[in-house]
Amino acid sequence: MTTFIHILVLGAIWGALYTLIAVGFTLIFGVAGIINLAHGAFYMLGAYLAYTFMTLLKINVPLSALMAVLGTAGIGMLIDRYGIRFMRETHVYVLIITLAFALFFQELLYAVYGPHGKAVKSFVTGEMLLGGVHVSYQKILTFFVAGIMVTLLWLFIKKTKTGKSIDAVAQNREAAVLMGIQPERIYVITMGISAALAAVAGVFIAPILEAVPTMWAFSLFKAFAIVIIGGLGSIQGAIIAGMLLGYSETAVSVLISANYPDMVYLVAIILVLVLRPRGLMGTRAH
Amino acid sequence: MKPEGLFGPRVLYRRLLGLSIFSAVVLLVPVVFSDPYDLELLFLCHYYVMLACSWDLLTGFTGNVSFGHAFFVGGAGFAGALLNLHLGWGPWLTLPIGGLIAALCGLVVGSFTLRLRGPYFAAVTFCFATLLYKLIMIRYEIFGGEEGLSGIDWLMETSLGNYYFSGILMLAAILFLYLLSKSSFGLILRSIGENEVASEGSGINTTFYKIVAFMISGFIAGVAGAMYGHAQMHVGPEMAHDSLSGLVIIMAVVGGMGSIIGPIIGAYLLTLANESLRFMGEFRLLIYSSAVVAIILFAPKGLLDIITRGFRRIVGQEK
Amino acid sequence: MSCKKIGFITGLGILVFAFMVTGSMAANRDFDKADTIRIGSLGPVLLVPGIGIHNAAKMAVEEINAAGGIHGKKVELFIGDTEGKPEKGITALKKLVLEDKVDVLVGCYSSGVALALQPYLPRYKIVYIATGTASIALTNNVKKNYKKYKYFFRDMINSDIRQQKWAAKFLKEFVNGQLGYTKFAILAENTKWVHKYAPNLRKDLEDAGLKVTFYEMFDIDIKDFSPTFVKIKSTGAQWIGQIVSHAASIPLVKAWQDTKAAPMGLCNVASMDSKFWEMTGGKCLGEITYNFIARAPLTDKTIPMWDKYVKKYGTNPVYTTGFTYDSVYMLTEIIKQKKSLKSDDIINGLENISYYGVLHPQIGFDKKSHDLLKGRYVMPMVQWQAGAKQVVVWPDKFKTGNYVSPTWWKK
Repeated sequence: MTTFIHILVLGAIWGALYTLIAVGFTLIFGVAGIINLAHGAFYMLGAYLAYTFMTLLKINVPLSALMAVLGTAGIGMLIDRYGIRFMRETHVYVLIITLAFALFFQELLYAVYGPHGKAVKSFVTGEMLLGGVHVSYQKILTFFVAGIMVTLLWLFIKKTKTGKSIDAVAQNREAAVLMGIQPERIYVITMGISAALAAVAGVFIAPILEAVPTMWAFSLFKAFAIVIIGGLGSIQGAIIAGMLLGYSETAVSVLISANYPDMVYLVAIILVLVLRPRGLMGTRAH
Repeated sequence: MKPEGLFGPRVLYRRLLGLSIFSAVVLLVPVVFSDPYDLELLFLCHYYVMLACSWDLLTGFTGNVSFGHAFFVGGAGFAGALLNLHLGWGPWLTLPIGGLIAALCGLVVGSFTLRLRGPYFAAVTFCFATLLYKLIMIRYEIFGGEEGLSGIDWLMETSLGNYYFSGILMLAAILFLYLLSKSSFGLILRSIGENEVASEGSGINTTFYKIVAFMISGFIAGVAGAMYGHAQMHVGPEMAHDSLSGLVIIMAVVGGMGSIIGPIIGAYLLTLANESLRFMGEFRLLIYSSAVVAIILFAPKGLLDIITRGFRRIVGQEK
Repeated sequence: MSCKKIGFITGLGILVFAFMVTGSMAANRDFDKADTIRIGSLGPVLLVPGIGIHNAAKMAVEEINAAGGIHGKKVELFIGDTEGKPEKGITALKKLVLEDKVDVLVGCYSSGVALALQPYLPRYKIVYIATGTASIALTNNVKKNYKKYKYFFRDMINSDIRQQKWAAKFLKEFVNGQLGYTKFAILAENTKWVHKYAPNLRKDLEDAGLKVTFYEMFDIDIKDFSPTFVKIKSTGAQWIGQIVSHAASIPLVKAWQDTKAAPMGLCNVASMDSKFWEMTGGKCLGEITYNFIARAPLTDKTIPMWDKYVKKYGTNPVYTTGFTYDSVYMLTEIIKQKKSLKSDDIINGLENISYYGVLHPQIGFDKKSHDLLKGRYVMPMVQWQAGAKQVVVWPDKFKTGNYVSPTWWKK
């Protein structure tokens, strides 16, 4: 019974972290149809920019987090405008330019900050007992942040004008153009939001995990896996798959051994795609 | 890249002439650069050319990006190493067998990814390679874990021997892949890439062609992997790592994919650039990766495209 | 037409091949004719252990030159970036030997890289002291095939036997003997260097009548360690012996501090680095790891060298630093003594050396395996204490402070 509660608590937190990482990745695919391999790099930039603001410029934690998120969103929009726009229709090109950017940011951070990990300050310190498990407040905060971000994203898309345009482009680009929406503008905005979401994940998760110049790969693989399993472009799918992955990895870790949780996503991808080639909630065929 | 214009006999002839000049250069290089260090470096170029070109057959033509080329390299590399260490088989056996094993791997991945396209295809190919990587780490008693396997027999006794052995294999692979890409096989692969449903509708057995492309690509990458193991006298888990798959993709794209010739340029350029920047110390990889980003941004169709256009401008003809 | 041409050129190529296949091999230089002595330093320039290697080598070479060099000849240092990857290590070694024409080699982090480099040493007849690799396979190769691998020496403590025995001694004598704990958890990363270490450690503890309540190997790619620590806690373990090098040490330590499972102390390579406190935001408070160097009087030379290094580079020496520093000195010492750069002379010199270094007063190598001589090393157990201090808590001979139990831990 206690084991079951442990899995319930730890899995929920980890599932929320995964969802937060993956939701921006699925958004930009759903809208612009691109696989952004620099998504992990945005996650990393969020963490490192926050570190820069809070440690080197001595700004308080919430403000540096906000600046890091906005800064990353700006970088994302620049990359979309000047790196992706002119070849957007070529999938292979988009995959490779974003991969090249990810590697570039990795080397840039090595050159600027060196190989030592950096301590990104957490918003809150201390921990509480939850079902017999010590859980840090930062983790609980991140759990709620994930929920809030997903809700905000949903409200933004359903309630605001820009959000509705994004939704329109995602559902039917030609029809959206006929309605007077400029898709290129929408793509840049969506990339900005997607990068901002990745940066939020970085700002909140880096204090729990680590900030090192290779951290992008882990988050990219997990985001890619979650989105493939959940169905590309589906935000509900990303939430379901993120929670499933969080729970199943924790369960494997607790019930079997910490030697195997990283196999879960690899096997899950192959199984899901063989049995249900468009993911659990997938709609778009690409 | 559109197929029209490339199939004219004159163009084919000119390209083959270009290839034979290239072969001559490859075979004569040691006359000028006899320094063993240069030869060892060029050996690496040969290895990466084989990987990038074989990747190109798979991806450049069908448009499905494979993120798992390391699966073939690592699979064949370790198979070759194990055969050499336990049964004492020399490179003359382990290279072809490594290639066959990789072709078999190609059959497996190919049949798993038959109906997948784009990101789904990329994800599954990535998964296979990463599973192999994990297997190497977890079953360290067989595969040596993070240390890999060492004590493998030399390919050739000297750097020069390695150079020629790999050079001739590379030339054979290029010629084969190039002729294949110009044959009806290549044409069918392209048509599958452009519109799979239409190809199927016109009576082409797309399954057969896709799987055969996988097997050929795997075979060549596998031979290269086994060769690499012998030449370095060591195989390690990084041969199955996603960073190798990524490097191969970047090489092929920088050179120009879908052409077989482009990846040759990319592989040579990036391998030599990476080494010649060594004097930059800790900034080497930053400069290298910035250059890669710049090339992809400014020459999205690859360097081959730029070179061909420049060449045409000089010659002053449009076709 | 082109077919003929290809045939012609292939033929020509084969001819050239036949002529040149008897190409020259690198040979040792003549000491009298050499105007400088060239040392190659191998290691990843962007990773902590590699930086420790290169800095130590630079410092040693500068000191040697300031003291007049080797019989008036200056020592030159060449850096080879291995990136911690075998392939890059091999090209770096080739560049050092074939292009920079170095006479001897030191350095290297990661046993995988060193194993890949080993076969090249007989090919180039170059002596190499590895100063950052712990796998016993390296020195076993020398023992098994002396003629081929005699060029290889290891100035570092092998993990499979010596680190494991030391770990068992620490857990038995200190944790059990002085602290009185009897229930242990062993948490080891699943990598090759641990695969004899961890089971043998478990056996040693059980043979001594202690209980191992938890024993698990984990995948080095995982980042979430809380389930594991929660599990350890539920087994009632009183001490966690961690064996970690390649895995994500920062998330591991953070999860340990958050879950408050039990005190943790054995081996965490990243935690040997003085920057680990900053990297984890102080979450490593209370963790113990053995190190291979510490600011303690291991010999008379240790503390002066340590302080000079800190002044010069603004960071503490790391575990590779002491070995590399001593190795550079040993190599130049022998070249000076023998006035020779011939590999056989250097090997002979190293096999008979007894050197007063910064890590031990009598450093020497085993004649058969070229591993460090038995007992000619020390591994201080260092604890992170409040204020980012690294305090040696065991063995008593080198103690710089007392062990402090984590505040949240109640027996």
